[in-house]
Amino acid sequence: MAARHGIPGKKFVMVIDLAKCKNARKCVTACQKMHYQPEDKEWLQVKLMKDNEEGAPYWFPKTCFHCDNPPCVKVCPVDATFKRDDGLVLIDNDRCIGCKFCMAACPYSTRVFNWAEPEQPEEISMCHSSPETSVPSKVGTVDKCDFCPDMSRRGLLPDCVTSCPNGVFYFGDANEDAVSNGTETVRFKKLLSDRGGYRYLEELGTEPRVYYLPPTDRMFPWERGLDGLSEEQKALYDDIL
Amino acid sequence: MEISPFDKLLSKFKHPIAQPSRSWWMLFAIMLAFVAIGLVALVDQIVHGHQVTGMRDHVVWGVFIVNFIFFLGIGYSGAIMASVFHLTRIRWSKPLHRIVEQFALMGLIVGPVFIFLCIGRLDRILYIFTYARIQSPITWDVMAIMTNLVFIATYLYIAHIRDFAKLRDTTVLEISSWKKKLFEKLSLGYTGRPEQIKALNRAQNILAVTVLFTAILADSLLAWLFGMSLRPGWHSTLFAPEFILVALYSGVALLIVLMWIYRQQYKLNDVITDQHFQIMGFTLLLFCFGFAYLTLSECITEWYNVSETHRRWIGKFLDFNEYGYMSLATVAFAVGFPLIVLVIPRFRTPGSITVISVLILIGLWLKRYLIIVPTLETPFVPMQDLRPEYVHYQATWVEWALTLAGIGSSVLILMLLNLFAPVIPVADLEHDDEIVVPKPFYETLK
Repeated sequence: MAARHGIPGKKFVMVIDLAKCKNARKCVTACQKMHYQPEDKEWLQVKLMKDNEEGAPYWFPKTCFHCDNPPCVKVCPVDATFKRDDGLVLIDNDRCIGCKFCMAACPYSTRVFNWAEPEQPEEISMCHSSPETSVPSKVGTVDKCDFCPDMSRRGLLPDCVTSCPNGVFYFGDANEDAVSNGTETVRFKKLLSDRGGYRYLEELGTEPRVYYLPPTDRMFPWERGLDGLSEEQKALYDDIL
Repeated sequence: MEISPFDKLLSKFKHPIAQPSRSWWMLFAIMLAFVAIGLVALVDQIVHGHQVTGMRDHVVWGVFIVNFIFFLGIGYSGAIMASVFHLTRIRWSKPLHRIVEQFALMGLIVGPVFIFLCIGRLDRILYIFTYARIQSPITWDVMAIMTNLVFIATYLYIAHIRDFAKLRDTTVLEISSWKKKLFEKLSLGYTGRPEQIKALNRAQNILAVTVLFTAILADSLLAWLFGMSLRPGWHSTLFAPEFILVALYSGVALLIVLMWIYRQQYKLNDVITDQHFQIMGFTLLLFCFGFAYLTLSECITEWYNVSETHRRWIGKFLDFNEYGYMSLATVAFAVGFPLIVLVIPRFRTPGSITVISVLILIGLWLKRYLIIVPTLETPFVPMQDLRPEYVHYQATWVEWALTLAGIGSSVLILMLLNLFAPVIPVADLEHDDEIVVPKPFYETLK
C-alpha cells in the first residue's frame, strides 16, 4: 500500500517562522476546512508561549512534528500509526483500535481523539478513508496533522502553508534542500543557519521534522494576536503572561 | 463414629458448598445488581462513544486505567504471595493460601476488563493479535496478563486437588449429586497414593516458581507501560519496583480484610487466629515503611532540582486547589493511620488492623489515581483550551458505575469460587506432613 511507504525520494520538512506569526489563525481554519473538522478540533494549534520571566511572549503554531524517533509509533500495538520513508508519521484509522497509547506517549499533545461520532458531511463520512487524506474521521480512533501528503502528490503545498497571510510556514523536501511558503522558495539549510533554526524540546530526543525560527525582528508586536479575541479567550493566557 | 477435627472444619463450609444460605443469595443478588448498573453504563458508552466518560484529549485515561492498575496489582500480589507462602513452607500461612490464590485469579480477571473499557474500537480488539507489534508495551502487557492468567488458574486448580478429593469422599456435607460428580472429575482420581503426592508436590513447586517470576515480570511490564513514556511523573526508573511494592501492600491489606470477613462468616477463630492478624499486621507495617520510603524518595528528588514541567507537575500535589487533599488522603490512609495503629501495641487488634487495611486499599487506589491523572494534566505544551473538561479530568457516572461493577464482579468471582471449595484448604491442613518441610535441627536434639 503506497500510503504506508511514502513518496519515493522525498524527506518532508517544515520550518515555522515565529517572527511572522500574529495568531491570525487562518492556518487553523484552513486545516479544519480541508479535513472537514469542526471548530473545536484543532490538528494545528497556535499557542502563546513565553520562555522565561523576562522573555517576550510569542505565538507558536504547532503541527504534528513527524518525529524521526516518534514515541507514538513505538507504542502503537497494531501498526495503525507508522513512520514512512518520506518522513511522515500517519494514521490508518481503519486499523486504529483507539487505545490512546500514542496520545499518552506524544510529548507535544498533537493527537486528537474522536470521542463521539464525528460531525462531517455525509458524503465525506461515506467515502473510503486513506492515511494520506486523514478523511473521514472515525469514532473511537485517533486523528492528527498529516502534512497533507495527498497535496504533495499533486505537487501542491499543504493548506496551512498557503492560507497563512504572513508566510509563516515553509514546507518542502530536505533531499532537495528547498522549502517554500508559497511566495518564496529558499534553501532549507541556509534558512536554518541564517536564522538560528531550532527544534522544540530537542532534549527529548524525538528528532522532530519541524524546525522553528526564533521570534527575532518581528513583523508584528505579539499583542496583535489578541485582537478580536473574547475576554474568555484572553483569559487562557493569564498564566503565561 | 467420632468426627475428625478436619471434617469438623470442613462442615463449617456447609453454606455455601452444600447449600448456599439465604444471605449468600442476597449478597449475590446485590453484586449482580452492581454489575447490571455497570452494564447500563457500558451500553451508554458503546452507543454514545467515549464522550460519556470524563476522558478527553489531554487526560486520555482516567478511572478505568486506575482500576486496571489496582486490580492487576491485587492479582499479581496474590500470585506473588501464593508462591512465596508455598515455596518458603511457612506453616502458619497454610490457612491463608487459598484466600490469596483466589484473589490472585479475581484480580487478573477483573483488571483486564477495565482496559477493554478504555479502548475506543472494541470491535477491532482482535487486531491486537492479528497485527501485533512486539515493540509496543501494550503487546508485552497483553502477553504478560494472559500468561499469568493461565498460570494462576492452573496453580489455583492444582492447589484444589486435595480438597476436591476430600469433598468427593466426604460424608459430613450433604453435597448434591451433580456436585459430587464434578468433584470426582476435578479430583482426577486423587487418593493420596505416594506417587500422586509426589507428582502433586512437584507440579505445585514448579508452578509456584513460574508464577513468582512471571507475576513480578508482569507487574513490572505494567509499570513500564507508563515508565517508557517521556512524560514527567511517568518517566521514572523507580516505577517497576514501586508498582510491585504498592501491589504487595494492597494485596496484604486485602488478605487481612478477607481473613476478617471469612473468620466472621465461618466462625474460624481457631484457624485464622489473632496471631495471624498480628503477623500480617507486621507485614503491613513493613510495606508501609517501604511505601513511605519510596514516596519520599520520589518526591524529594523531583522537588529538589527539577525542570519546569516537573515543577508544574509536583506542584499539583502540594496545591489544595489541585491534588493537595488527595495527596494528603493518600499519605494519611497508606502511611499515617497504619503507623499509628500498627506501632502502638494497644491498637493492634484484629478489628483495627482490618479497618486500617480498608483505609490502605482506598489510599492505594488514590495513589494510582495520582500516578495517572495529574501527569496527563501536565503536558509539556501549555493546554490553553477553552473547554474546561479538556483541561481538568472529572470522572462521570459511567466510569463510577463501571467501577462499582468491577467491585461487584470481584465479589461475585470470590463467591462463585467459594461454592466449590472451602476458603481454608482443609485437606492441605490435614495432610500437612505430605509437603516436605525441613525439620529444624534442634528437633532431633530434643
